[in-house]
Amino acid sequence: MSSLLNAHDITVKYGGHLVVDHVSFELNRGEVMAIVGPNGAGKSTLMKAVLGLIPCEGRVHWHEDVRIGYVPQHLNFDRDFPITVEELFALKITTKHVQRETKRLLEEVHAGHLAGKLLGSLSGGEMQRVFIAYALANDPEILFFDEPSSGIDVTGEETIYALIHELSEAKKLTIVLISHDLDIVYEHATSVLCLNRRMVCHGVPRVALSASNIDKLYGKHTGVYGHEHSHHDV
Amino acid sequence: MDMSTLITMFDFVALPFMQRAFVGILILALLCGVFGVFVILRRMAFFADAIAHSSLAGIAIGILLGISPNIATLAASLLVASGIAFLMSRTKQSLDTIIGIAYAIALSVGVMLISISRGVAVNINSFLFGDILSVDWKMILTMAIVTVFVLAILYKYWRAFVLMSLQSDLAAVQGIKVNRMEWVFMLLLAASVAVGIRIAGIILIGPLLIIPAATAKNVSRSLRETVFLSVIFSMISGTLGLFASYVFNVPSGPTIIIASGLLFFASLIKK
Repeated sequence: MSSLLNAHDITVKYGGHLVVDHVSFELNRGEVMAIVGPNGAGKSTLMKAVLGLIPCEGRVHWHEDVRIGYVPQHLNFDRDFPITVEELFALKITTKHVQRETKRLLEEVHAGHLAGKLLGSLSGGEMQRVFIAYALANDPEILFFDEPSSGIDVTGEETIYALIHELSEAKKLTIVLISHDLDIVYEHATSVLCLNRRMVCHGVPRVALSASNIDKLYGKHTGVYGHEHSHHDV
Repeated sequence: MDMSTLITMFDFVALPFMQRAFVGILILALLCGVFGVFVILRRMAFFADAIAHSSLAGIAIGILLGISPNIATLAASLLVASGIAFLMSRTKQSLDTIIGIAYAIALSVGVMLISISRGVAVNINSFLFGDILSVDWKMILTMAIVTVFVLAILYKYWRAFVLMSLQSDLAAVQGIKVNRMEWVFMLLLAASVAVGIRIAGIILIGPLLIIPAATAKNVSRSLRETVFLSVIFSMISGTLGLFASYVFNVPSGPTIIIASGLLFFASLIKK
């Protein structure tokens, strides 16, 4: 496997306060990496630092000319913004046939019917699909998801993860996602990075997410323990 | 009303100063209509107002030094916009705090300069509330050039401006230099405000930017439609306001704003 991203000693401070503390990791082509940790652990900050959206100390080395897709937390959008889904896609698509390409991308996430709708009129789940399709424009090699299930109900959440899984298989995409749900990590991720300001563990989920590491990550008596199974039985 | 009264009422159409005013208001409506959409989407109405109020200092300096007030206004607006953008990148204060500070200082400097100079007060009133009827062809040409320039840049960087207004992180990941484009946007806004002051006045150029755009946003089903309707509403209120100001012999700036205000309330009914 070849390395797409090498992050070394990433440190982020907000007003003298350490938010991410000397985190290093490597990301290989085809990997599905989950970043997990409690609220305020610096998960989104780490992702933004790697993407160059906020200043950080340390080194981020990308493989040459990597095409990146990013799906931010959808709650950050102003729902009053008068823009249709198709108009949104026209802001990224570089081919001549914007309409056709938009339709194709939306169909990949089973949302072809949303092209003419106003962005602000979509439900949480629909909005998430639209932004996944948007991230897929211009054929990215790596996709970043910041809490893809935030603001979506449980059924919608499972569908979104199933969709991410489907896309990663079909397109051989490399994926980095932030999740708070360890079940999702066991089921979909090939590696996990546990973060609580510092890196608590990193590796294959079944090994890295040991009971002691989970205790370190979330604190003791959280009632979250390692899973023996690899599928949902809910 | 007989025919001759009606003809007399529309006599003004033949008056050269009314023709210039009409061309001027249409150009300004085009500029404000398009740009206003971005001002409201980026929530920069306060910034536009602040730039307008700050330009009083430029006007005063221009009059004192014998520089054309149009050039001085443009220079002052660009300077204050750059100052605000610079302070934004250097402090942790919020945008509205910085605007509040810059605006108050520039306005105070303007008032101070005006009060120490003599005989200027007569001119100042037209800068405060606009004096569209005194607009000459030279001013119209300046407005046309600035309008073409601003709209051309807006068109060229349309993707960047829309995307960073919607979600700046998404824009940055797409390779857009968000900080640089913020500067460009502020400078364009400053230039638009500066050319609009002569017609709408310092007090009313801000509302002229935001009211037609807000009206369009109320009734539109897409961004394209919002921009198009914003220009149309801007032109309608400009034309109605101009004619009303002539017929009732009142200043043009307020009548234009009242006309656009009426359209805004009408759009609320539709919504």
